[in-house]
Order: sequence, then structure tokens, then C-alpha cells
Amino acid sequence: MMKVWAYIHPELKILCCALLQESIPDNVEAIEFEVENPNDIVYDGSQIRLKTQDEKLQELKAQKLSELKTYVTSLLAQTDYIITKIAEAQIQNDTAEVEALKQKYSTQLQQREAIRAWNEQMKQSIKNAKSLDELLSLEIKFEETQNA
Amino acid sequence: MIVPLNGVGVLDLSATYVKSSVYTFRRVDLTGATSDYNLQVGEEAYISFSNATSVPLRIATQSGTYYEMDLISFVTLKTGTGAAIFLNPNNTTYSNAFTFMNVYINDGNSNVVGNKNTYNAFRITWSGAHARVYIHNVTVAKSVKSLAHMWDSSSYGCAIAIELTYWNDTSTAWTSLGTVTFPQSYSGYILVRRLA
Repeated sequence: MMKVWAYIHPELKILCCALLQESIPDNVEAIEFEVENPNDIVYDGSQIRLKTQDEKLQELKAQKLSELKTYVTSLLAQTDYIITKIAEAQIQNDTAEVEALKQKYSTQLQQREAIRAWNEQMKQSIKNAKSLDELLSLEIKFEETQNA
Repeated sequence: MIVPLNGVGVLDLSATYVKSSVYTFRRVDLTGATSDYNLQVGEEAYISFSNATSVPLRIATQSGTYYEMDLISFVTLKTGTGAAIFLNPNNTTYSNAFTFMNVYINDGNSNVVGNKNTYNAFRITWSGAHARVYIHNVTVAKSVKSLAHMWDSSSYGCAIAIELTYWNDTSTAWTSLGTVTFPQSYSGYILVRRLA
């Protein structure tokens, strides 16, 4: 736990937290808090207060969902060229080529499906998490065995 | 460190070697300092810490200065965790006043990916390991960029990243280099060298 001193910055009009008491600007009324992290404090428009457990949970959920999106995008990017090839064949109405490409890259296409299915499961798990511990225990890592 | 020696093995301080632009870094131990030290060009601050969630650097700064900082941490991350490490200028958080962007590659996959985010301080790295940080303090353009070896116990494993955070506010003076804050208790040391 650490002490912080929260105040509304007189010029910037934003919430600030001094991590040292001496860092509070002159002529500013600051409120002392004891927190695990300075980001645990919020200004809700009327008062400076500690974030509720639910607010922390929703914040972490948003962070986890963002991490998941970046991760899945990077996983799919590795085989995006296959989708481009198939799309080009479709644009040219070359159905034989489309089928040939689907055959050639069937393993990769199955893996993409597995990644998308895992992504949906993860999204639901994140959204359904009831506590910070439950959320933190969710590992954002696609295992190759999930492709089997 | 290169030490210039003359023909008889004595430190060479003659005019042929010593020029005004040549210096070696003088180390200043700021561990446990209670007030800001005015670090000079050519000085290196050393700050060690143990089981700390925040470490005040205790270094005074001003517009027009430039620093490089090494953050070396020894930490066993809690399972399932990974979170940003920040440099809070003026020992203060400023809500959503910092824009962050990075590119990285990690154990999880072989593609370079990127992120952009808003924070309350300069993000200097993620989770554990070590980072080289460049700190640019000019009041109208305050920024921190880092080359980081990151470690995450959950999603990503080991990663190499290039990160940049700039302070959107172009009027607030940056007068104290700030406090480094960690997502859990960390041990390690920090070196800050003033280059300009």
C-alpha cells in the first residue's frame, strides 16, 4: 500500500495524484488516500474517490479484451495471405482455383477456425468473470493442441 | 570505461588527451535520497530498491535536458499477471495526459504487432526484465522512449519492444524526473545518466 494525494489540477482541470506529499502544488487542496496503485483513484465529476471493485473489474475486462484482440489479430495475420489468395480467385470466378486453394491450405484454414472459436470462448470468459482474481487467472494464450 | 594512461601507466590528464568534451560518468548514489539532486551532464545516478512498488528517483530536471536510464529488475511475477511500469513525472499522475504507442514481437507468435493507448504517466516497459529508456524534457515536447526486454508470466512470455510515450500537455514544466511505479513489489536498480 502507498499514500497518494489526489487533487484537481488548477490549470489542466484534470485529476492528479501526487506520489510524494511535497509534490502537491501550492494552494491546492489535496485528499490523502492509501492505495495499492495510484490508478485506483477516480474523479466521477463530483468527488474524488477510490474506484469500486466493480469499476476496477470493468477496467481490467476492457484491458483484457484489448489484449485478446491484439493477440488474435497477430495470430490470424500469419495466414492472412491464404485468405487473400482465395479472395482473389473468387473475384476472378475461378471456382476450381478456390477449391484447390482450400485443399492446399486446409490445415491453416482449420487452425483459423480454431483460433476464432477460442477467441469467442475467451471473450465470454472475460465478460463473465466475477472477480479480479478470476480475470487475472485467464491466460490469453492459444495452444496449438486446441487446433487438433 | 576507457581510462587514458600515459607512457608510465599514470592517468593522462595532459592537454593532448583531456578536452572539454571528454568525460567519464561520475556515479552518484541516490538510494534513499530525501530531496531532489541536481544531476549534472556527465553524472550517473544509481538508485537501488528492494520489494518496492514505487521508487522516487529524486532527480531535479528542467526544460532542455536529456537523459538515458536503465531499469534492471529482479522479480518473480505473480501467475497470470503482467502490467505496465511507469515513470510519473513530477512524482504525479496526470489523468489520461499521456499517449503511448509501441511495437513488439514475443514468444507467442512471430509477427510484429503494435499497440496504442492512453495512460496517466509515461509507460516505460511492461512487467519484468530490463529496459533502456531515453528521457527528453523540453516543456513543449516531453517524451520518453524505451527499448525494452519485457517479461509476462501469462500471455506473451518474453518480448522485445520499442515504446514511446509523449505527454500531451505542452505547458506544464517537468521539474522533478519523477517516481517509477511498479505493478507489484520489485527489486533491482536504476541508473540515470544525464547526457544534455
